[in-house]
Amino acid sequence: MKQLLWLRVNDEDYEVWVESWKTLLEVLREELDLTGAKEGCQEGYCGACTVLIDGKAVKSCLVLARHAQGRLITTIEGLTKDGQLHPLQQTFIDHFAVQCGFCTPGMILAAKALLDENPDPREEQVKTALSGNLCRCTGYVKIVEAVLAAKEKLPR
Amino acid sequence: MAELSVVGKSVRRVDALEKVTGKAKFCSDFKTPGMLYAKLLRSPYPHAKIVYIDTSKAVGLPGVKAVITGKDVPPVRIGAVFWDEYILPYDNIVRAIGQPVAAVAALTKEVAEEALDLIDVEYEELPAVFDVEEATKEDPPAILHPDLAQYLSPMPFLKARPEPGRPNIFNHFKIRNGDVERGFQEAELIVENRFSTARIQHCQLETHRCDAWWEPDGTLVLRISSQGLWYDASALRLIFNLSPSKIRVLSSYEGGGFGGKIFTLTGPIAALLALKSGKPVRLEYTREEHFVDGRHRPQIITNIRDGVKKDGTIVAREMTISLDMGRHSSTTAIVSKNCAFGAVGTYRIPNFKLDTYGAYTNNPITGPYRGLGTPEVTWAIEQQMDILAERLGISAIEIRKRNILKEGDRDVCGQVTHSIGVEECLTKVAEWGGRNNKTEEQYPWKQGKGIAIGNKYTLAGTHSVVYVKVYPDARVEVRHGLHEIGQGLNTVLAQIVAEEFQVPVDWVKVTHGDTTLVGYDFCVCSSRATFHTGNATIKACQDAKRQIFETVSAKLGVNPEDLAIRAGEVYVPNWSGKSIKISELFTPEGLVVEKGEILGRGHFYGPIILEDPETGQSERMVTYYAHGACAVEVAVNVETGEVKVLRIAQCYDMGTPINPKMVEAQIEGGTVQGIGSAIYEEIVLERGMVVNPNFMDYKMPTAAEAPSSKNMKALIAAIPHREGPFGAKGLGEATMVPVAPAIANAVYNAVGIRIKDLPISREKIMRALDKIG
Repeated sequence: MKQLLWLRVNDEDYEVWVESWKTLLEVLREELDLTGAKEGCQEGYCGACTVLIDGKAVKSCLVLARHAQGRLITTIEGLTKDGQLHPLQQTFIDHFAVQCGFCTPGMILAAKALLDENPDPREEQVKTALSGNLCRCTGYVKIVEAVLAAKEKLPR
Repeated sequence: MAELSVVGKSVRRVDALEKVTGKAKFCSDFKTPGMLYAKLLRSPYPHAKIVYIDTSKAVGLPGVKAVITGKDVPPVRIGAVFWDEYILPYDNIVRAIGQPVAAVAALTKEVAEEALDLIDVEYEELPAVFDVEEATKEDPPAILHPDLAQYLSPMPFLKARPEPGRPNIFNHFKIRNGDVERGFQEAELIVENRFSTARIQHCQLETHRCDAWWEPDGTLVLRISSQGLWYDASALRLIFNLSPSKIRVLSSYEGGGFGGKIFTLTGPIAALLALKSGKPVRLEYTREEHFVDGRHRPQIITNIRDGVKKDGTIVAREMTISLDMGRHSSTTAIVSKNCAFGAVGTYRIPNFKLDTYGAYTNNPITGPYRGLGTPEVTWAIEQQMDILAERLGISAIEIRKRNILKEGDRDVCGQVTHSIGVEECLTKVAEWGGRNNKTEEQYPWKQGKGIAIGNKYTLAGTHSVVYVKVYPDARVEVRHGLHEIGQGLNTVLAQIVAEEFQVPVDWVKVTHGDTTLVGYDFCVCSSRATFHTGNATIKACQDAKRQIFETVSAKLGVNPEDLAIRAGEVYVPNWSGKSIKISELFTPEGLVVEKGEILGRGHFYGPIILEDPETGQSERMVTYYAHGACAVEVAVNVETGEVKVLRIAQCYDMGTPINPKMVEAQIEGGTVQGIGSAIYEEIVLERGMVVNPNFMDYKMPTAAEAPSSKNMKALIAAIPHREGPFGAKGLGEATMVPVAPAIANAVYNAVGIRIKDLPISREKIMRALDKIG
């Protein structure tokens, strides 16, 4: 049965009628047209659907949309502020950390969650933090480089 | 060659901004109003006859709009090379677990799934064969395609050749050169070994998917995640008997290909459901479906027998290669021949004999995976080279250098070698590897070093057509017929156009993914796009410039051939007299009075000479070979069998790098895929059933397993190719080829055990260590 949900996504409020069992990923993509989060496995392994809930990286295919009510949800679409790219978005471009791009939104948000919690991670910490996000194209080298470069650009 | 201004520079990827902001659209980011969702019922048996199928309960479920089975499909067999497969079992035979048996389209995914449970199917199990060596016998336990002799093989560049008397073999490819028996008689050492590779999966993050609908005029429209929209269009035309103007294939960005998305798996069923329901239909594979029936890299067993002189010179080589291709030939038919080129493009061998046997089994469907069989064959050759070197007491580098092909040599298929930089690649990675002495070993870790070399051919006999349109503001649009699957093609073509028109890259607009707008192109495969589509792009630019120069020459009173263009201005070089801006050629409505529009067209064909079927000899068997080398240092834990890659370097001779950073990125990606295939990855089959169809049980490398940037080196040996665009060749697939054997050689160097069957799992290492005590 459908129920009315209030979701706060990227600083905007949304009201949607959805079935109680719909995941946050499905609601973001199908109801709110926020298609930046990707569906790669629907099982919580690949990380392509990663979004931030209250600043923490979460696999949105594993969260029921109704459980995300009253929380602050950030998707890749909410990362660019006033036309200004987030430093991670810029360093992903500059370091050629993007290939097919399917993992990129989730990867950037997982990296953001890390840098928000630990603004000066070591390389090993970056690799551990990103190990829930699969990428088949890059071999991860340039992604890790981009995250390490972004930490230098964050406002302190 | 004149100094280049854009080609050869590491300009930013033209698709990166869209991708980091989440704006880049992939197949299922589009919505079609009124769209239905499709689900497939799949066979639970590896080989069975469908004796009864009843869909009436499913049809009656509210929300269900169409149900199809083998009874509803056009009686047309298709295939990428060898036409052996109905889109659903029209012949009532299923040949693998996971093969689609019926399909449902409904208002929601959930209703479609529920409907699958209501379809009654009764099967009668048939004997099955899972082992490829059993399957290739004269009297196998099961024959998959008794009508094999009637199947068509109409592709111009590849004919499947069944083997009379061995009923599961659908392709037997032969190479004969010199006199192998005499070669072995001359040999001072003969060594024979058997190697095999595991089935693995591409694991593209975006699974197979498409949307299909029919326009009122009878045009079929398909939006698809694919590596070849024209290839897909040709399959759908055949199935639905459509005229060429009645099919339109769309594609957007794609979440990875690696060979697995050549030739559509989803399109025909979605199109038939759309036809039956009169609605748009979306068909997406779940991750589990993608693992089960989304194509695997085939298992390949290679027997290799070498005769060598004491100095390491190879005088004879004989190879027998068996490929477990699964239920149908699909795209894997190409692999069953072209895997052989892994044994052709690297070494000079005076007496050579090779046979490949592509065979049907009741295992799931397979297909090309980054290298089309060459990594699997190289897995055998490059371990064999180390084995020979050790037996002869010479170094691994020396034996390779002694036998590699040189510029101008004829290879074992009779093609003259050109643009070969394998020696330089080997030298570069060996230098890098030599720089580091082993760090101190700490029990239970033991360290070792290994190298390997290899090649990747690019398919001959394919076409590319590109259009280039010049706008009044001097911006240039390139319309290409391929896909941006992450390999960077849009950026490469933008750089080529920018170079030709002498404009910044951001003056170039790249349009792709709509067969009504773009030119024909064969496919994103075989590392062919930079070379073929790049060459067609140059020709299209030249055609557009010719049109501009003709228009300008009349206005300036000079010969068209004396004109040049830069930054939107046409001028006469070395003459300060006159110039004219592109914008001045256009009327305010955006029209060139003399020509209407400036629209250039370029066509490139990479020629092929079909081989002699008995000897495999051809002057132009492949378009070119790219070569490379890998050096690796590993640590092996003798208590657990774990293998860690400590440092790894790869070098490739992919001609002139159009964008060096993107080359580096490709090599890094191929390196880690190679590491995955070497140490971690395996599709585990039990009587044809995939027992690990998820990312938990199928272990592909994460960031934690990938070497860090200081321990991974991507090197380039820029040996130009005379026919390449600005001297470039393709690269993508080659980067995976030598990685696994280099790791195996390093493991041997570390602990003295030789693992001949991929992957180099902990279990195999512990067992082997146990044996040697």
